[in-house]
Amino acid sequence: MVSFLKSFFHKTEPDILDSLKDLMAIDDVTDVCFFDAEGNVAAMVSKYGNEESVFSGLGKEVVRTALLLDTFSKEYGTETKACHLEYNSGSILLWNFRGSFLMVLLRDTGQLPIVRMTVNIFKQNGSSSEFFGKYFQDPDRSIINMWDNDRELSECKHSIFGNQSVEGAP
Amino acid sequence: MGLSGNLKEFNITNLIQLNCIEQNTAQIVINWKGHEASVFIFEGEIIHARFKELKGEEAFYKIIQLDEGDFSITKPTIVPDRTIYDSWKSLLLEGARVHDESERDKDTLVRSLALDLDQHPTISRLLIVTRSGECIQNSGFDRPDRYVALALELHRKSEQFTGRLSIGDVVYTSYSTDSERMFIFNCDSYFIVIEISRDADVAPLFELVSELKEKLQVAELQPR
Repeated sequence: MVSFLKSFFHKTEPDILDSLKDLMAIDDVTDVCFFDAEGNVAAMVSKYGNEESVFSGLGKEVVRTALLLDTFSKEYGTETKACHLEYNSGSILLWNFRGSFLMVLLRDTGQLPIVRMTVNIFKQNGSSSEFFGKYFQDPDRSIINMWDNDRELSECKHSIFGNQSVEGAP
Repeated sequence: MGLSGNLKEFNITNLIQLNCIEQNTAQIVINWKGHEASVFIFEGEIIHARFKELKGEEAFYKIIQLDEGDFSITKPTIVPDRTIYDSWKSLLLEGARVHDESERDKDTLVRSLALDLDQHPTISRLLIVTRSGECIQNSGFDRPDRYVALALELHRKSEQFTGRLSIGDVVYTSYSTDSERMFIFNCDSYFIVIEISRDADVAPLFELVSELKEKLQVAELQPR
């Protein structure tokens, strides 16, 4: 499995390979993609041969979605743990790792609990790794500030909160 | 002449109106959830429509309520027997009236189905929203307008993801917080926003929503 992963990762780093092999070993997991705080693809793997360009086109929307949920939850004194989207024949899961964003695609939903458990372990182990260090060290605030000037995100927030000033909104 | 697309991007009424104004002879065929619907226009007049077991005006009024499904417009090789005699203008006017009435009936049905959902112990808060953002049922949300806007925005983003990855239609979007899980179900022409406890079993919830979807679909398919 590790050699398979290596052949697909565009930026091979031992830390991430070690951390991810359990996740990719789950039958139903078809694609895993990491985005950095700006929505660029930091690493990805696909059992179906999806190209990086497929995910790079989604990066900004992934971050906007995560930050929107983050802002919304904080407004109500909670914290968003994960976002899950189910379509006709599978699922997309999205986690905000305090500055990097993990997207996992599954072709079925039967193994969702295993995926969640694996990601939680991965999150705990990965947070101390060199690979994530550069993303994790960014506190939430700086990520939100980075996106303060994003017009689409501002419009999304405005459509929800109106003119009211919210945390993280410009 | 030949045009194809999806009714999500093209309004069916506009397509018919355009062909009538241009005095075209055309056949509009729509594939709606596996059912074929057809409208025949002969030299600018609507002469025949067919949808499931329906024919004539009855079929036509159903067809102009469709807001999704792949369609194609071609020149018919055979002109069918005439089953519609009213002018296209009066048909479209009557169609608009039937459509408004049907929407009101559907809202009433959804409200009554929502009562069943609302009584379920798993569900802590419930919101039903039309695709245009109108809140037709709220149970427990202090600021429903915010949740309506969030639901619409999340669904729009979800459709961007599935569209970009070419992986089919969105069934629901959900997110979890410290203590709760919020689901936004894509249900016919409505979004059903449901909040449950993070630890609650979701299986009964899915069953309830699935039943609601089936009832809505049956109501939609029934001839008026």
